[in-house]
Amino acid sequence: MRYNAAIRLLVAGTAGTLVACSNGNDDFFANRCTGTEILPSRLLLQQLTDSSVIIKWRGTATAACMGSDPNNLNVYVQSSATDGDHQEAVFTNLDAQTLYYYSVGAAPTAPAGQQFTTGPEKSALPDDGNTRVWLIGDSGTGGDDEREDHAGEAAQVLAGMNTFVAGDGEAVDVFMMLGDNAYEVGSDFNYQQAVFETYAALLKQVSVWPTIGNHEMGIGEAVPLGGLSTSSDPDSYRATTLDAPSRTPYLDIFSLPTQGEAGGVPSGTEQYYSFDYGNVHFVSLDSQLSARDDDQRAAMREWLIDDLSSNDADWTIVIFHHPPYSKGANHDSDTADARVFDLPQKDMREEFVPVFDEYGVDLVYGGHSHSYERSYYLRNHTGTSDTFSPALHAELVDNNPSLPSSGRGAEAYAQLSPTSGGVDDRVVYTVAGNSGKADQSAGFLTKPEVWLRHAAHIEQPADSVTPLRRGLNVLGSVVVDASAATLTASFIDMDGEVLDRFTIAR
Amino acid sequence: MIRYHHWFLWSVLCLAGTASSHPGQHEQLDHINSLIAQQPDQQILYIRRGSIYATGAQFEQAMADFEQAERLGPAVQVALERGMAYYQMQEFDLATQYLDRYLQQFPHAAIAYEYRSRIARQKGDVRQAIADLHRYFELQDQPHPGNYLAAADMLHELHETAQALNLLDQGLDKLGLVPQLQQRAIELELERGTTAAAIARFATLRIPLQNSPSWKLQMAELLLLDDRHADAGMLLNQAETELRKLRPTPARIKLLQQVLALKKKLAAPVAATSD
Repeated sequence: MRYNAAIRLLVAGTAGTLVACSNGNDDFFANRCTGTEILPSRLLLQQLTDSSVIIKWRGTATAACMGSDPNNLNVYVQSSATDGDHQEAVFTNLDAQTLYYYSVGAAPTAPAGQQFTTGPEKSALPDDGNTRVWLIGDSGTGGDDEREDHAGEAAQVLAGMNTFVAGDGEAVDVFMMLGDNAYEVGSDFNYQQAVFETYAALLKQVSVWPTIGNHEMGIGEAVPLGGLSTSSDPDSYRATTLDAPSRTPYLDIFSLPTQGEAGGVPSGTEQYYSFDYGNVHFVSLDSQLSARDDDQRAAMREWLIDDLSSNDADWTIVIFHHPPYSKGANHDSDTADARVFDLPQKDMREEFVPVFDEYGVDLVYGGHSHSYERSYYLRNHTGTSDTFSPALHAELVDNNPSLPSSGRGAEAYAQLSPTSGGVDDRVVYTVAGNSGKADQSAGFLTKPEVWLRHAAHIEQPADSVTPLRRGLNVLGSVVVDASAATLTASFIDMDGEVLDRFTIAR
Repeated sequence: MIRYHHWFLWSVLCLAGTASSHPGQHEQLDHINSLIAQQPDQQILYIRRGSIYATGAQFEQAMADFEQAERLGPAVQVALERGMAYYQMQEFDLATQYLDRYLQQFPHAAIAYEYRSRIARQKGDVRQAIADLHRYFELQDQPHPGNYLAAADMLHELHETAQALNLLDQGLDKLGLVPQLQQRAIELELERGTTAAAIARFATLRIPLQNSPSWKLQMAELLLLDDRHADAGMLLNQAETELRKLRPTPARIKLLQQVLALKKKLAAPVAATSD
């Protein structure tokens, strides 16, 4: 959503509250939820917190209703029109950890599936004791542009997550997208197919928190290539060669916090932001637009330091699109210097990794490379892969410099690293750009002998190749479970099988 | 999905020399080439292809396409891309000429002002750079916070502190209470000796920065500049207590050391002055 103070005030002014509505018989307090459900062409939840939510849709409806009884919705909110032909209804004063139902069009009853549970209060745990996060990267293959080669693959990854979740019955609380959410160019139509039609059921129930990837930038103004824009200007978007430049649809489709509306420090831009969900602090950085300009990147870094300095959550998870470490097909973080489209990998590694180390970040997720790669528990590794040294950069088993710890089973990491003398100064970096396609070769820019073999990444026993590589070229996604005592990250395949898992203990 | 042809990829890679190509680039080139084959008189296609070449640092091919585009339609339509390409080539005078030409025709193109500002700054023409950023701020609904900081820094270079503060306040009005803008304003307030104004500004950040130990330390430092020792001491005590409860990170360890050092300084008796 384009930030507009006037619109924001208007929305706030018309926001509904559960306490304000009454079942009284006079006209003023009469339940206005007497309309008819109007099926929107897209529907999503945004900025779900412990006490508020934005219901956003595209369609003719101009109001929404909500309540705790699906057959008696009693809080009416007039929606506001926002950029990109969307409508937004803001509901406030909700109770934490409470199930609500809603309708679009002000119907008194909620259609099946239109429900959500508000988050826990800041620092509190969800009722089930665990915050569950689902992360997908480069997932946007569900539309026409990728149908020929990757039909159904994003849906298969979604099915894998559903199978996994069905296994223990614990639903996803937070849904995160790691960029390249809608191939080929992140157009509104690409988003319709690759996001709204692919994840429709989930988007109605769980708030989605994205980051911007290179394929959100169309063919660009400065650089007219699918997924290759090096412009730092969000208004330089072109979906086709003949279009006039316009604003990237990403910023109209999503309504992201700029003023700390969901926790975190105000960023003043939707390009990067943070939020809290119970015991976890989340940060979404912009390695695509803000990272392309020195001044903008510096401002983002200053904001990040302020944000993390103000954060005292149990766990901190950061997402951005361009991974600091990768030996993915066509995206080798060691050669980012020579390839303008991969330069953010180097910038993020050199300028932001030290901040993550200093300020207690636990996990960092990126995409860009269409594979799964996961690092050791790292600190102070800002160089290329040939500079990686387990003794200098990795958590060790029994302080043995030749034995970097895997984080698996008995080698679970400790947030207060023993190798660092009991200080929280280490981060696990994961590339998970394989939620819509998985590259089956090194491509023509990454040398085959180094593909999926970054020294700072961990060997993957589930690999089909011997000797084992440090990555997996299969489809999948990541589920993170954050309890009071542990943070567990699981890479799951299309069948819901766990192929890699590690734990950090508090 | 458009499939690329290996022979074509190879030829582009060879042409590129040391420049590298993104996988998506070939698909786009392939696509544009096919469009050019169908519509060889379409100006915009040559502009787009020229920009592709420019991105890959293939400036000779880029300029050839731009020249062809200029033959097929109004030259001004090519000026933005030409300006950007010359910017990449660090041919700043030529870049400025083309951006000027583009802006004469399209005076609301914020991106052209942004680029022209960068060029002017690199050329050392700070006043022009600031003027272009001002225009960019007027035209952009949601300017990036970093551009406000860049403009304020340039005004500061010119010793125009009041104007820099005014600009930062405009940014705060437009973007909301963004700590980075307010922090830069505080630095400027301190520099010009208006400590009370700096304290007032920093007080506005208490809630956005979540009353953190870091906020408390910085506020204590500001209060000490205003000789408010008791208030500063209270904040330092609170910060120390909070930091000791939080799990240690390198940043918190440093912060605690700073808090303790300041407390020690505060507690030290004032050295007696000899008459």
